[in-house]
Amino acid sequence: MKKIWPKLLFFFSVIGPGIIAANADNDAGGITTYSIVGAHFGTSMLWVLFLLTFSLAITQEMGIRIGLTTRQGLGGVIRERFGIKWTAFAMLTMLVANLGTITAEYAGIAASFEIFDVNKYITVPIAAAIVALILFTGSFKTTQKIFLVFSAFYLVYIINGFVINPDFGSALKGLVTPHVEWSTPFILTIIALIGTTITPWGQFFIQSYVVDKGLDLKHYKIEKFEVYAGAFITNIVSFFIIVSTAATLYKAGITIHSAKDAAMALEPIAGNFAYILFAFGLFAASMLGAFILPVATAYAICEAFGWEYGFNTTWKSGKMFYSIILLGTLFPAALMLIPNIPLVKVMIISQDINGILLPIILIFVMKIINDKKIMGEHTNKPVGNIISWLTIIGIIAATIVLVVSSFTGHN
Amino acid sequence: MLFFSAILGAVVRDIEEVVGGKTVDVLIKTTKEDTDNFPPLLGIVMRDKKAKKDIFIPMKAIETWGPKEIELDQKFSECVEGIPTGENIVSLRNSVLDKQIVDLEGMRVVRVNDLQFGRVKQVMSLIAIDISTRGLLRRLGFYSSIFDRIFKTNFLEWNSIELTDNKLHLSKGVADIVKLHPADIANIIEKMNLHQGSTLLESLDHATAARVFEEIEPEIQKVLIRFLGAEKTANLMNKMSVDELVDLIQLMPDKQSREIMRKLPGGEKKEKVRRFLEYDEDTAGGLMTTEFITATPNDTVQDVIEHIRKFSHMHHSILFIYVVDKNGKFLGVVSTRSLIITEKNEKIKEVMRKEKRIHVVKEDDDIDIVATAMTKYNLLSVAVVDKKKKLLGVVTVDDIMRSFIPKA
Repeated sequence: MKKIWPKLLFFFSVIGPGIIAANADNDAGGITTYSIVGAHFGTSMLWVLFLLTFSLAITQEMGIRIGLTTRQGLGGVIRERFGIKWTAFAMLTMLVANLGTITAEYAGIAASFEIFDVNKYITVPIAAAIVALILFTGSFKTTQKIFLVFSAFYLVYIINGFVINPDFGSALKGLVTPHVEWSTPFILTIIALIGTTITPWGQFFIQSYVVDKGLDLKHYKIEKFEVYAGAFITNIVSFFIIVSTAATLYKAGITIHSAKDAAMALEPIAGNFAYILFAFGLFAASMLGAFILPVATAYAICEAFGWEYGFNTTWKSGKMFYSIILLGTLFPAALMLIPNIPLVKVMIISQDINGILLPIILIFVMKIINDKKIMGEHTNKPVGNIISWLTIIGIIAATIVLVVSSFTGHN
Repeated sequence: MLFFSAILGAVVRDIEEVVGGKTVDVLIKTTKEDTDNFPPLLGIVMRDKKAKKDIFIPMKAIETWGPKEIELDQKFSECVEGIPTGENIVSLRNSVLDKQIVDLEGMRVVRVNDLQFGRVKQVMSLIAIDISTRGLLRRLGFYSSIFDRIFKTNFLEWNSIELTDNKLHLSKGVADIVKLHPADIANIIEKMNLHQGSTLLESLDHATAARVFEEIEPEIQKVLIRFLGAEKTANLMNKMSVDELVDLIQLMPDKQSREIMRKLPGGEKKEKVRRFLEYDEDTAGGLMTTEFITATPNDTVQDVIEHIRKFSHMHHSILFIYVVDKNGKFLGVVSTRSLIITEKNEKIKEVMRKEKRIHVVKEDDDIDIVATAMTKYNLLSVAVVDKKKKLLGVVTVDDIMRSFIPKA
């Protein structure tokens, strides 16, 4: 027993990045995508989620391994390995994906208040102002923690999953039985499912997190365990969101057009309280994303291009850093103010964009992790390579099918 | 202006107009002796079109450096050499371009976007390192004169930078970096990530490292201590001055400070720290330093000057000498100025300003009282005494400033 305590302490001192990254995966785009997966397609897409758990664990693990070995963020490593042009390409890819995701966060904020008929022209500007205020007054870390605690709301789905007593037999069967419909909505939803579970920004985030925390290769084993656990936990939650919506909305033949529809999945456990609970959870998750993403984007871009960054820089020396944060807050918020913009569609499409762009970032990661000059003895083992390449090829194949099916008009 | 971005990929043509291939790298030679000069280019590395391998062409064979084209005044067969290697031969493409560097003048960590070449005393040399957004855009291939107006040029001289890429470069840079003020080195460390920062700190000699460490922001100090571990930290702390050390230990959680106190080598310093920790931070006792020079009334001016010569390296500044009797009772002060202007064999008791005419403070006086007294009597430092007039320490104006403006 005596020996366990120091080990446990050590464990808790480095725990964090994997859990945070995994938890932030369940943001506005995530909760909406999983709800739609369950509501529109029942348990038939669970097999994708099952496979994604391995992909997520492996890609996150590669992120920490590169971070621990190079002691630089992904942007920095890409710059040093591939030169400026590829860096610009990678950064542009990430910027587009992230702006899409942040837009989804503001859509989530708007949608959560629309449940109570509060107009988005009020909520979105106020939310953007709060985000900007908190970021620029430097209370970033505390706020991040607060919203992280709020996002424990997802546990509700797990309890809900047991309360409604769904058909676990068919759910487990769905986990291991590949099923594909050759229709545009099906493929579009699959890509969104991939793009919301494994994200370009998550790849950048996990790597800078271990670098900023000053972790070392001696922490590798613990970090590896943590990202594996994180991938497992996040997908357990996703699993229960899908099962919950499948057992309620899918059964009743309800399709999701607004957050209110998605909230109904929580009625078995929360009754009339379901709307409030769902709105609160969606809002907290969206705010967490709306905070972290502009900052994560600015960190990565500034590191790659050699601009000064961090909240300890002055307005003048950190001009680019603050500009990117401002762009990442104002532009997505402004998009939300377009009249009649369909909130649920925005959330799904942004996850599709993430999914389609993900292979680009993953290919950079694969090139780096198999480069002996950079990684030394810590290059990938064959298993990691196989799973990663299968993920990349899978997404690219799905994208091609999507393009073909949308042209041939299979709806 | 000739930029590295224009040389990379430039076709190489020899005197018979034969195109051999494209430029892939430029090598420079750095010399330790003339660090003030601009490092001369050694030659270019060309990817041979036919043989599909890299070859080296020395400077002496190169006639013109056009953008996008390099012309030789010889045939390829006459000038090609093996690629030189050596400790002071630097590949600009592999070790400099796109890498992170520490800008010692601007005290920040930046990335190399482009390099500028030019003739210095007829020799083509590396003149400057371009860290500007203009350099970035030039590399990306969209260069336009419009950008000249939007983005400022931002060049660094070669000798004002150090590569932070890896340990090797860091330790090479240390010789230069110690020339900086400890507070400036501390600034650089604060901007680096934990690994780079601690590597830099560890590569300094103990005394410098301690001085630098004192200047680092408390929050980052705490993280560094945790990162370096109690063993190394205790060594570092042993070189710190007592008052800074006390401040630091007060910042740390109880468990950690106890561990560090345990690891701290025993002796006078440890005792002082222990005693200090009993004082409240915002009182004269908590503010004061115990590092000052004392003399006895019967010492001669010459004795004291000798003493200062011998021990001056241990003190930040020596403005006053404190006169005490053999029991440590405070008797008066002598300014270094009066030491300089008086006869060498005069006794200290003749020169000193007597205790009765000097304002002193008590160990438990509040910081406001101390500051008010120092302002009122125009004091750069004030002696702290206990009830029996025993000299305990000295509060300097620095200590006061530090606690009013802790972030500076």
